Amino acid sequence: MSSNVSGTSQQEFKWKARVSWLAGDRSTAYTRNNSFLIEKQASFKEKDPSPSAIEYLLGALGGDIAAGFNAVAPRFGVSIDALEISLSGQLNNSLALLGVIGESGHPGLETIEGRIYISAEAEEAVIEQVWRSVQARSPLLNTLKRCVDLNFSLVITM
Amino acid sequence: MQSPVLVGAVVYDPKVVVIWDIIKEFFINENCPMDYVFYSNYELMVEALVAGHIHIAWNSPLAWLEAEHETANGCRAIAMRDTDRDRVSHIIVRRDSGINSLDDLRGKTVATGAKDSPQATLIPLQVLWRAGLEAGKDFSLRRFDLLVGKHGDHVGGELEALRSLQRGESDACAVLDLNWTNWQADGTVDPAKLTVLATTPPFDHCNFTVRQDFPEDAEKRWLEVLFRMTYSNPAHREMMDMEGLKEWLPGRVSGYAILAEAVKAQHFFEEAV
Repeated sequence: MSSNVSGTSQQEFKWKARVSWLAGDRSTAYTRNNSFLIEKQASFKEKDPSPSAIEYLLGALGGDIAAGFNAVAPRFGVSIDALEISLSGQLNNSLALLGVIGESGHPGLETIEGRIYISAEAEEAVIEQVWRSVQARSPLLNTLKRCVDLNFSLVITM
Repeated sequence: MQSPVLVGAVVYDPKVVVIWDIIKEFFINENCPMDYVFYSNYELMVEALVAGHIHIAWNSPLAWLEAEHETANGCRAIAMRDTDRDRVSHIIVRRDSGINSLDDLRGKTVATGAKDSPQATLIPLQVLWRAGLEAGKDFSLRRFDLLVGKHGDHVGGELEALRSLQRGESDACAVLDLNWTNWQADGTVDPAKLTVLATTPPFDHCNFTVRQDFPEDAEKRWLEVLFRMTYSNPAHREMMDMEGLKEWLPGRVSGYAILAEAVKAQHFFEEAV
């Protein structure tokens, strides 16, 4: 019998996605009963028909955190009135993404910065407790923090 | 499948890829496939052109001279932007400086862009040399060597030289005419405080360069498509606005004389080796 990697079980659930290339820089991702279009790895244009892969990652992280607040807040007796998360990500070297000959560095994300704007009827200290709990439970945050410099701040609004 | 014509370009800002994607898409739609290859500096791109790794290089004026030098005049300038023709640089001073002629710069400090910037360093220094002023002897040179290898394309060193003049750390600086106009428009420059002391002779800027052995039919076909790009097409206009042109024109080499003179007088290639 092989031993488990620490923190996992042999029955660990697996999520699945299937990505089908359409044409050019566009693909469709299929997950369970959903599908979504992905346009490019990263885009430097003002607008595109669909989000890029990097934007999906940022959006997914924000969605993960928002859902985390929704799951955790009631356990602290906190009712959320409004919640918005703004995120920005920066690559180590965008020119490496373009394959620029002679550039150093890599096209991986170097930093992700985020601001969480939350309005809730609760003491600031309690909301911060909720945020700590969200961080502990977030799959994407816990994945990314191991390889990217994450910098989040909590802004409590009335 | 037809092999694409490979076009090299030096990039310092990832947004440049938007320009090249528009050009590439148009060429592909016109059944003249092309692809781009990006380089971090002109020296690498000229090496690639000379070695035949790319067919066409989008060369700075200095890279054009370098390509000519490396191929013993075995290359051609086949196209350029309308705005590449007849550019000038200005030597700028503060209005209250009391400097009224180039000779007044004796003993003063002149700020320039990066050492490989034709417009903000090499050509203005040549104009001063023609006026009998030698850097390090007749005036102090304060050079802003930002992103050397990109031949001043990024404007960073040129802007730092201007800032140095504005802060009073230098007595003059050199600025490309287009930047001088833009910086007055966007408030970077207060025309009540700074003025043009002298202007260089006209010179040409970038061009598409091919080696002499690039097939004539391929060149003709590629140029026909390039010259079909028009400012009246919204997609092309987006690219042309970003790249700063209204139309593509045939290449010419008559506008590189003063830069060639500067490079020779300043031993640029000897020192660069």
